[in-house]
Amino acid sequence: MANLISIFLLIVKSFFYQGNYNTENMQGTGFAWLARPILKRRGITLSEEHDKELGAYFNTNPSFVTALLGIFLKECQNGNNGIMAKNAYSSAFAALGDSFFWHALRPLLCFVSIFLVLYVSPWGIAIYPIVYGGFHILFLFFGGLVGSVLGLNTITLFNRFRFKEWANIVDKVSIFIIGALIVKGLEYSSSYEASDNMLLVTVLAFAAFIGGVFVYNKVSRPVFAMGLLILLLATLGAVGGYNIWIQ
Amino acid sequence: MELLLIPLAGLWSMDRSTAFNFMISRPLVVAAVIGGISGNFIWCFAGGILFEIIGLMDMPVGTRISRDSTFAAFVFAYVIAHLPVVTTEYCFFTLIIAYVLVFPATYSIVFTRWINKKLYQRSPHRESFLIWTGQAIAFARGVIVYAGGAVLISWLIEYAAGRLIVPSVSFLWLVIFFCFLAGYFSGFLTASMRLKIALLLLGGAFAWLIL
Repeated sequence: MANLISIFLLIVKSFFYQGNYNTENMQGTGFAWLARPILKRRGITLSEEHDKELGAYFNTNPSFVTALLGIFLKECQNGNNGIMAKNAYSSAFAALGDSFFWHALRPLLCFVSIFLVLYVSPWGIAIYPIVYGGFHILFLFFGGLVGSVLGLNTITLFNRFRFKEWANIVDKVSIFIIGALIVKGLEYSSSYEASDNMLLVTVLAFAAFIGGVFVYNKVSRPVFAMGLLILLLATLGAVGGYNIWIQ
Repeated sequence: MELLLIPLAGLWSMDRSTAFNFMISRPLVVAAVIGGISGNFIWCFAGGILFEIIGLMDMPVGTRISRDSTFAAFVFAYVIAHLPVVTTEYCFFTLIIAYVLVFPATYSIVFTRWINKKLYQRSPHRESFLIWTGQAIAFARGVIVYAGGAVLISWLIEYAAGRLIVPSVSFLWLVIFFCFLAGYFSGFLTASMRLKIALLLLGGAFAWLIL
């Protein structure tokens, strides 16, 4: 019971560990802030050199910080170099997190919650933070447990889940939902203003989608951002004329 | 109820940069909450969708700071919720202003990280102090930049309302714009072009025929 309470408190504490996020040691201060009390409680003393490096550069996906903390503590307890393990595995877990949380879960929840809001209830928006937050806490909990038991083998276990393949499936589901959303958008627009030719409007929407894919493949991001702005302004000008300000 | 937006702005800023990581600061959620509190839900939500899709492609990988789409959604939703009469023209106008102002708002994140760096260099071992000061800075940034910025822009638009002719833009234009952004975003997703189009048409047919 005492163990569960301490894990719960560690998870709550980890919600805030990025407080000192900066351009020099990134999340290093936060990692040291999480690790130091546990090291003290377990009676682990770091060498002077390692103690200095505890708060040095560290950057990973926030959902995997407890997994890295577990690996670090396990290595320290075994008399190995915990700092090296922390540094070596932070990038690997960052890549895992980017792949699962940023690339797969976030787009999926975005389109699912839009779908739910438009088709079911405005409360559908709650799905986004609840499910994402649920996965975040789940990974913090199991990551911490697994990390402190398996040590360096933790990454092997996580790799078995094949997060990259999840992302591939989720991507396809997202495109399917986009199709449903476009139809809903066209339905909304026809309720706002009567469209003379719904077929033409549908073709236009489809062409805009294909245009978007084409622009993604051919144009770089900064050019896209500038182009988008110019497109918005040009449309504004073309539709309404250039004389915006009047007396 | 409106005063609730001040602490929410602080919490959203924290969620975006220093705490929680629950995605309560996503443009979609921010716009929906403001729309729910202040009114004009569907318009706020429509703006939230557009900023969400732009934000989804902008991942904070490594040291990269993604553009502050939370700010854009906050400003857009606040302004739209407080317009006496909502028209597509003003939605579109506010959309452009919010999108342009994302860039200085993003710079405020760079600035807070610079302050954090200076604090860390001064006293690297006072971890608790550094963490909670950083949280307070992130909260203050939200209140100043999000809430303050939204009120200021709302005043500006209200001031300009009588003097400005905003051209006519239809809701359909916003939908077409969404389609374009969705297409751009789907380029970011992994599937062949043929499969993407097939899935898109399947999704459309599903919504049209069944829902």
